[in-house]
Amino acid sequence: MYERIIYPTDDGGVAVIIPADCGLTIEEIAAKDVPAGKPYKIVDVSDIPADRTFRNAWEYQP
Amino acid sequence: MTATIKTTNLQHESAATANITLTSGGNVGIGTSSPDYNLDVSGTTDPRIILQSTGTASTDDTIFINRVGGTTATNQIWFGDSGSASTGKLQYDHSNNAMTFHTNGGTERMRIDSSGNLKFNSGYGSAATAYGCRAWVNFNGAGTPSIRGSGNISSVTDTAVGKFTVSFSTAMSDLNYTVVGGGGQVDVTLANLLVATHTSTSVFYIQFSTGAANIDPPQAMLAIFR
Repeated sequence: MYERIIYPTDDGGVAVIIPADCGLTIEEIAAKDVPAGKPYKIVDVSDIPADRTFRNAWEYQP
Repeated sequence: MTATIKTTNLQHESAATANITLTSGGNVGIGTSSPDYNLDVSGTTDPRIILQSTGTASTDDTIFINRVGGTTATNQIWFGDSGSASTGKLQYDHSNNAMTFHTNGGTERMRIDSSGNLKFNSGYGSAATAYGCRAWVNFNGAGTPSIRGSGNISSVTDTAVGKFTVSFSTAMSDLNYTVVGGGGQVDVTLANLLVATHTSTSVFYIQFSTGAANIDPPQAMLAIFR
């Protein structure tokens, strides 16, 4: 899949969900694997920085 | 009034020999004049018995019934050759309510017991219960993380450097599962796998660390057994 799901973490960071090829749509995976009550966005994989030098400083932008 | 036709065989008018033979003992032979069993079908080239449904609905099944009179005997399907009549065998044991699979001289190799446990003997010495891998994943945790292959995994969530959450497609039955695996940067650093938390539903949290710091492993491999 060429999409990712992002949501804010409790410590102010951002989590990036990598969907598996499991027969579910990305919307179904988001509904299942994003923690309850968290806002999320589905983005293109190219929107995720490949440089992880400052990975722990990433922030979620609604 | 009962009409009786007495005959020992039936022969098509164009056939050179009898097509169907009925012995005095009641055995019926098709393609053989000396049937050894109740129904003995014989042929030189690919003799076949077909049970075919012409219906196309989901209920138009075909059923081969193999039934014993009591509750302790076995039903068997044999696979034989010139050396052994039953070198391969599929058998249902009504005494133990177990299905067994036999190969190479009729030796039992695999069993599904009355509780549904799958037992097999593959280099173990005897048929013992096999415990299945319930989920697995191979993913790249570095750069732009991606999943190379997986089973019963719906996603891997990258939450921080060296920290990932793996979600199951189908939840584990309880918390008593085991996680094995590891990760690392090939030829550089091997990371320890730490399972920080695992839940009774479908998620566990893993952390790859060299001890001094978390790392993003290009090679992360996990398997879950229960």
